[in-house]
Amino acid sequence: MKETANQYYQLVSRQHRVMLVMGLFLAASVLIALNVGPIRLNWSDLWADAHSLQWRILVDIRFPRVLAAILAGGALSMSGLAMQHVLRNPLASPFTLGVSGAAAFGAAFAIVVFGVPSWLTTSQSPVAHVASRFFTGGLAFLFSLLSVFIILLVMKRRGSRPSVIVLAGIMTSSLFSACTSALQYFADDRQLAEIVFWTFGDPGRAGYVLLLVQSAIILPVMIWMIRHRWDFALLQSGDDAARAGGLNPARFRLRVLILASLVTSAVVSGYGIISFVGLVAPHLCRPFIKGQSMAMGASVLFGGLFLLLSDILARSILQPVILPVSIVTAFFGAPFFIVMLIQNREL
Amino acid sequence: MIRVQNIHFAYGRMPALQDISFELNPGSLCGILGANGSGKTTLLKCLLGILPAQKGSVQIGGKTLNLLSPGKRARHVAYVPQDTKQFGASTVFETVLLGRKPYFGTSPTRHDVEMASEILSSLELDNLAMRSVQTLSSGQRQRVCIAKALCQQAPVLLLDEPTANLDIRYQVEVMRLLQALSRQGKTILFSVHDMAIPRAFCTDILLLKEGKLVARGGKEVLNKTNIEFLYDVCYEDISPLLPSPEQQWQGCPERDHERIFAKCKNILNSN
Repeated sequence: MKETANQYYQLVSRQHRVMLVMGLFLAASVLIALNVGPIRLNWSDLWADAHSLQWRILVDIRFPRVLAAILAGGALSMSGLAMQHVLRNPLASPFTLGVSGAAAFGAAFAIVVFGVPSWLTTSQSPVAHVASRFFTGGLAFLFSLLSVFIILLVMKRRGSRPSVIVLAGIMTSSLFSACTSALQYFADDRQLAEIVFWTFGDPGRAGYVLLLVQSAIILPVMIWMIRHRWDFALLQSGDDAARAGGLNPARFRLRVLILASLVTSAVVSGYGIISFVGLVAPHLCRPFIKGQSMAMGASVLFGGLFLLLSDILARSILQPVILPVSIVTAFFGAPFFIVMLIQNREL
Repeated sequence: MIRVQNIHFAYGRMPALQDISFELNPGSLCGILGANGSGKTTLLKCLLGILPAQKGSVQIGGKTLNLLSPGKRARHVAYVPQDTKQFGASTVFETVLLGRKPYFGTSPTRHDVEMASEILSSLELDNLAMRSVQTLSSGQRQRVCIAKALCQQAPVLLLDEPTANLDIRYQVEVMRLLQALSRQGKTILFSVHDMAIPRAFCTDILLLKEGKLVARGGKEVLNKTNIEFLYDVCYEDISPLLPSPEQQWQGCPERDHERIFAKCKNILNSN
């Protein structure tokens, strides 16, 4: 076998090892995350009584929260990387393109206009609870699609220059933010509280039913994206070259943006806006994974790890106060975004 | 063999190509010349199927391109765009391996990897294999894109101004490479502005003016009458910019691509 083929297989093997290490870090972070919180868990007592308060905290609060952070982080990171690839824009992400803001508006719209009760209402039956989640998530998805179509329209008229797309994203985000503010103005106290909580993204709202529904949406999309990783790579050299390589770029781009919006809506309608994960995680992951072929899978893993570590930080820096994780991700993400703006010569 | 029959294409109401017909045999190295806006890139995109011709047909090896799916079309014709800049951080090897995408499903097979490796070796790109494409010079990127197109194993190769933005050394290198490939049986078409290049290397030349094929033939079509007609200029005004091929290529480094290609003839010959 040729030397370069060996080098390629060595690279693939190295990428697998890096992903394994990420998986080990994730497992270690899960153990840490289960231990972090206002109440210290005593592991030796925990197994003695399955009905104890400690057990309930572990199983009903911390474990779903940890799973939610991994799922949401992986989903947002994957959506961010997918958007960066199909728009050929290093600054694209669900947050910077206004998709998250639009989804949050959709959720707020369901709460205020249709009076759909959300996670704050505890008196619902499980069926009504799931139905309200679906309705809220559905509206979040519809509005996130609207934001994607605004971006595609701008791209069609003004080309895909990174600065144009990001400016369009900022404007879309501002528009939906203003719409959400208008809804807040007319909302009653309960609705207002729900919307405010929505804008503070936090995986602490997770429950097993919600996780199940989200997994049913997010995991198939993850598998689809990972299976199409070479199509993402093909699109890197431009639409014409991609078409010459056997891909229909317009159709693929539309599919990816719709799926990325679906995943973002599933996360936002469950936990609110978690900013910057979709932008920061793929970029931080890139130096560890050289090349493109494993980038999508690694990005999912790294996004989960990134949000879980952020959540650990959010729960531990001001104990016993638990900060919404979006505050921590914004503290990391905003400076990172500015550094990228300074460093990227093509913007 | 590529057969183009009466193709017509218009952007809205603006005709860009009118009634273009020609045939090229395997082994042709064909340069397409014309003034800016004459339809060179549009012609390449129609041949590629990116722009569907509104009339006429393009056949490669007896198959009509527009009737094929994008994946199958990619097995018949490969393309190297003018802009070879890439977004993302693909390695050279992965980029070349992408040429095998029309043949593999979700992941490249061992055969695909070996073929990419052979092509890299034949183009003397082994030492760059694990470098990020973004870190390469224009000339190196151009060669990587050609390597990717070769990996597609298509009998026809189209290139949009392959020598644009390259210094004279890389221009010669790329053209020698294309010449060697055409001698191995590939049909190669490329658009070009520099008349010295088709004079020195091409077996066929197409002259386009305002979307019409005004002349077709060997190097003899680049004569004073045709050039004046093609560019609406007086030949004497531009003759200082038209050096003879002998003057232009003297002293350029010799790269024995033909010897290299002889080693992997089986790979480069199309299916």
